[in-house]
Amino acid sequence: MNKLKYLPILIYKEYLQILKDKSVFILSFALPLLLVLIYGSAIRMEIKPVSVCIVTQEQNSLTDRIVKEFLLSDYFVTQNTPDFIKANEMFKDEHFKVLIHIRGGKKKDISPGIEIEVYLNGVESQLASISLNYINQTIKSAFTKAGLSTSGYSVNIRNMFNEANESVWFLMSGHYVSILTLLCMFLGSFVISREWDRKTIETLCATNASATEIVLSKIIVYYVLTVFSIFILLVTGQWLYKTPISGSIILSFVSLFVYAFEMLCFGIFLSAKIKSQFNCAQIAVVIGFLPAVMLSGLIFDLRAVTPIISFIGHILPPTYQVKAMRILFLSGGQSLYIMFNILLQFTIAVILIALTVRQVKKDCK
Amino acid sequence: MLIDIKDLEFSYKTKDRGNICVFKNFSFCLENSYKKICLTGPDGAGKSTLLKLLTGVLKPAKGSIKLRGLTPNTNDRHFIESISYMSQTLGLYKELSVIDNLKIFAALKGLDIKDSTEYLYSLLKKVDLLQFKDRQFDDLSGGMKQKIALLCAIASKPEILILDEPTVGVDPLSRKEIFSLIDEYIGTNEKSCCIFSSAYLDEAATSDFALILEDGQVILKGETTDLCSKVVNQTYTLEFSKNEKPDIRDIFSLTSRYIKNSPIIDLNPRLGQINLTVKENTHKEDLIDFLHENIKKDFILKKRECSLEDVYICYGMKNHVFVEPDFIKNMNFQKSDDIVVQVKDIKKKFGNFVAVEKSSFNVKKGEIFGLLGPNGAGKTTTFRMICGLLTQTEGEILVNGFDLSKAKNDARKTIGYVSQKFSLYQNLSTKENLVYFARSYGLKRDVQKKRIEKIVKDFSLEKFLNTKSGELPFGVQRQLSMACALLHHPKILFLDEATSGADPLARRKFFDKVLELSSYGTSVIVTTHFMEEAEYCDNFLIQDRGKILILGTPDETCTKNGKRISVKQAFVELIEHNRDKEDENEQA
Repeated sequence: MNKLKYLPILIYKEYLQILKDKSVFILSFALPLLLVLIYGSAIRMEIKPVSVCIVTQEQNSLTDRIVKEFLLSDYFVTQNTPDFIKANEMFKDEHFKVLIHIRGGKKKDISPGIEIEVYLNGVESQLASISLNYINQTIKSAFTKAGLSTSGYSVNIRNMFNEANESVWFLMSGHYVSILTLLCMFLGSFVISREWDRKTIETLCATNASATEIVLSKIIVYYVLTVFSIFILLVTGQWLYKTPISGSIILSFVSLFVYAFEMLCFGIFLSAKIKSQFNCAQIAVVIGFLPAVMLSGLIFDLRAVTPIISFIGHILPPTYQVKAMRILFLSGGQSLYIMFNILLQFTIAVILIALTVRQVKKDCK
Repeated sequence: MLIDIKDLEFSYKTKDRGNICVFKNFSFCLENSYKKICLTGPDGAGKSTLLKLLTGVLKPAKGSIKLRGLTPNTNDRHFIESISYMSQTLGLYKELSVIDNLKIFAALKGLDIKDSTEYLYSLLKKVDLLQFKDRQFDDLSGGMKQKIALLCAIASKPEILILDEPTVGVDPLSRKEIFSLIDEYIGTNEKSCCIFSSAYLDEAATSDFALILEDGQVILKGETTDLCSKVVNQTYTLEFSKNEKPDIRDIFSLTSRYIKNSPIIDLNPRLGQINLTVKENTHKEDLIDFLHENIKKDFILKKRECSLEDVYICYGMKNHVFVEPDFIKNMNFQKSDDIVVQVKDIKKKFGNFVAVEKSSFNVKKGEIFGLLGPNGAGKTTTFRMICGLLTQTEGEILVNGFDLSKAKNDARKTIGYVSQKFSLYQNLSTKENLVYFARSYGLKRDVQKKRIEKIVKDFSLEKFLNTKSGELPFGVQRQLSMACALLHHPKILFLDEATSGADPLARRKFFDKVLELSSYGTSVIVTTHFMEEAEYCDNFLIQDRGKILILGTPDETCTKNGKRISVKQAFVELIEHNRDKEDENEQA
C-alpha cells in the first residue's frame, strides 16, 4: 500500500492535465470516428493469386482443357484432384480459397449435362466476388477453345461462411484492430515525452513519486480514455456496418480491451524511450499503422507474401489479434486460440510496463 | 559537511559530438555553517549539471557526492524530502492552475493534501499572488511564474533549497522579491540553506559563499567577503567633468581585449562615470600615463571599492584569447541627427487588454536605445511592432523612412533581429545557418561567401562551423544568432533580451560588439533585465503597464536630489512609485 502512496495524487494530476488539454480529447474521441469511417469505406482491396482446387471425377479433353486454362492464368494457383471429400476438407481448413467441382460428362463424351460447382470462401468476400469474374471467364475460354458452345454448362456458385457476402464484414473485424493500434499508440506516444519536452520530468523526479507510480498513473488515466475510445469505435462501427458477431461477444470485448491496453503500453514505452513528442508521434504512426494494416494479414494474406515478410508479420502482435477478431466475428469457435491470444497480448503489455518503468528509472530516478 | 564531492566524473551524450565531459576529477567540500551558496560562471561551465547531480536527477559516472551526509538519490524518500529543486525551466505544469501546481507538488513531497490548503494559501498571500490562484500557470508574467516555482520548492519545508537560476529573465523588481522570499525562508528555518546559480553577480554577492565554475573546474571559491579582497588594488573610477566626458564608443577599445599591453582589463560605464578594472600590480602612475596618452581629456582617477563582478572579470579574463581587432581605435564618434526609427503615438490592444498605450519616441542613426521595464510591461510588444512582427492598433511607425504599415518588406530589409530564444535552426550546422540566413536576405553568391567568412572571423566561430547549432554552448548560440542578424548589414539591430542568462564576461564581449556596430553608424535597440547594460545606452525609456514612464539619457533619468543613482535603483523606485500611485487612483 505504502509503495503506491503517491499514485492517487499523480492520477489526479494526469486527470487535470487531460481536462485542460483539448487535443487529447480530440484524439481519443474524434480519431476513432474518423478512422472507422475511412477504414470501413475506403480500404477494400483484392488479392492475387487466388488458390484454386479443381476436382475432376472424370477425365476428358474438356476437363483437361479447363484445368490447363486455370494453370496458365497467373491469377490462379491451381491444384487438381479427383477426390472431392478430401478436397472439401482442405477447403474448410482454408488451404485454398476456391473449390471447383466438375460433375457429369463421360470419359469420352464431353458434351451435355456437364455441371460445374464453384465454392467460394466468403469470409474474404472481396476476394470472392472479384475472383468469380475471373473464374467465369477462364471456364468460358476453356469451352470456346474446346470448340463447344458456352451455353452447354451450368455454373452453380456457393458462398461459404459469409452468406451475405459483405466485404466490409470480413475487413471490419480487422479494421477494429488496426484503428485501435494506431489510436492507442498515438495516444500513448505523447504521455511521457510531453514531460520531457516541457522539462517537467526533472521536477517530477525530484519528488517522492517513484518511477512505477509515475508510469502507472499515466497508464491508468490514459487507459480510461482508451476505454471510451473503444466504445465510440465499436458503437459507430457496428451502427454503420452492422458486422455480425458470430462468436462470444464478451470474449470479443475482452480481447479488444486487452489488445488496446497492450498498444497503449507500447505507445507509452516509446514515449519514455524517445522523449520528444514530435519524433515519438511520427514513429508511433508509422509503426502503429504499417504492421497493423500491411503485415497482419488483414489485407495482404500472409500466405501470399514473401517468406521474410510473412515471418515479420508473424512476430508482430497485431497479426494474432487480427486472426482472433476474425474468428470471433465471422466464424466463432476456436476459443482456445482466443484465450491464448488474450494471454499473449496481456503478457506483452506487462513486459512493456516493466520496460517503461526501467527506462524512466534509468533516465532520472 | 554540507557538500562533499569526491572525484566526480560526469559526461553528456550527444549525437554529433560524442560524449562531452562536464566534470572530471572534480572535488569540492563545504562546511555546514554556510546558509546561502552561489554558483556562477559562464554558459556551459557545468552549473546546472552540478545542481542536478546534487539533486540526484543526474547520476555521476564516477566518484561520490554527499549532501549533508546523504547520497543524492531520487528514490530515497528521506533524501528527497530534505531537499527541493527548482529547475531553470521551472518544470511546473503550464496548463494547470497555480494552486493545482502547488497542491500537486506539495503532495508529491509528502505533505497531506487535505491539511495543506490553508498553508498554501498563506504562502500565496505572502507573495501577494493569492488573487491569481486559479489562473493558468502559463498565463502569468515571467516574474510571477518564477515566484510560484519558488513557492512550490519552499512549500514542503526542505532543509536544502536547490535553485537553478531562480531569477533568469526576471525584472529587477521581481528579483528583489524573489530574493527576499529566499532570505526569509532560510532566515526563519534554522537548519535550512540555499544553493543557487545565477548570472547576476550582485545576487552572488549577497551569498555567504561563492563558487565560480568554468569548463567543469572551480576557478575561484571562497567566502564572498574574502573574494572581493582579491582584487582590492585593481579597481578605479574614471571621472570626467560634465562637458569633458568622452563617448563610450571612443574609449571602449582601450582594454586588453583590443590592445595587448593595455593595463586595463575591463572598462564599463557605471553611475555616469567609467569603471576600470586593471591588471594585477599595475601602478597608478602607469595607468594615468596610459590614459593620458589615449584619452585627450581631463579626468580624475579615483580608487573604487571592488565588487564580486570585478573579481569575476579579472579571473575570467585570464583565459581570454586575445583577438586582433580590425577596426580603428579611438575613432572619434560623431553623433548623427538622422532619425531612423520614428514611433508616433502607437497603441496596441489584444482584445480588451491594452498592451501598449500612446507611445512615441525616436531613435537616431548610430544610437544605442534601450527599452526597459518589468515583465509584462509591454516592452516585447513595442519591440515586435517596430520590427514589423506585430501590427499596431493605432499610430504610425517609420523605419528608415518606410511606413511599416505600407512597406513592411522594404523596412524589414534594413533591420536585424536577435531574439531571446535565438531563433536558429537547431538541426542545421553553424555554417548552414549562416548560409540560410544570407540567402534569405537575398545576398548574391559571391557577397554571401565574403560576408560569411568575415563574420565567422569576427565572432570567432571557426571552431564550430560544422556543429549543429542545437548542440552549441549557449554562449556560442548567442554569437551565432547575432552573426546571422548582421549578415545583410542592417541599419538597425534589435536585441531582445539577448544577454539573458549570460555571465558578465559574455555580456562585456557582447556589448563590445554593440559599441563597435554603433560607432559604424548602426542603430541598436535593446531590451534587457540587466540594468547596468542600460548605462551603455544613449537614451532609454522605462515602461510599465503599457505606458512610457520616463525617457532620456542615463544621466537625465537617474539623478535623484542632484546625485547620480544606479539605473537599477532609479528603475525600482520609479516603478514602485508609479504602481502605488495607480493603485491609489484605482481605489479612489
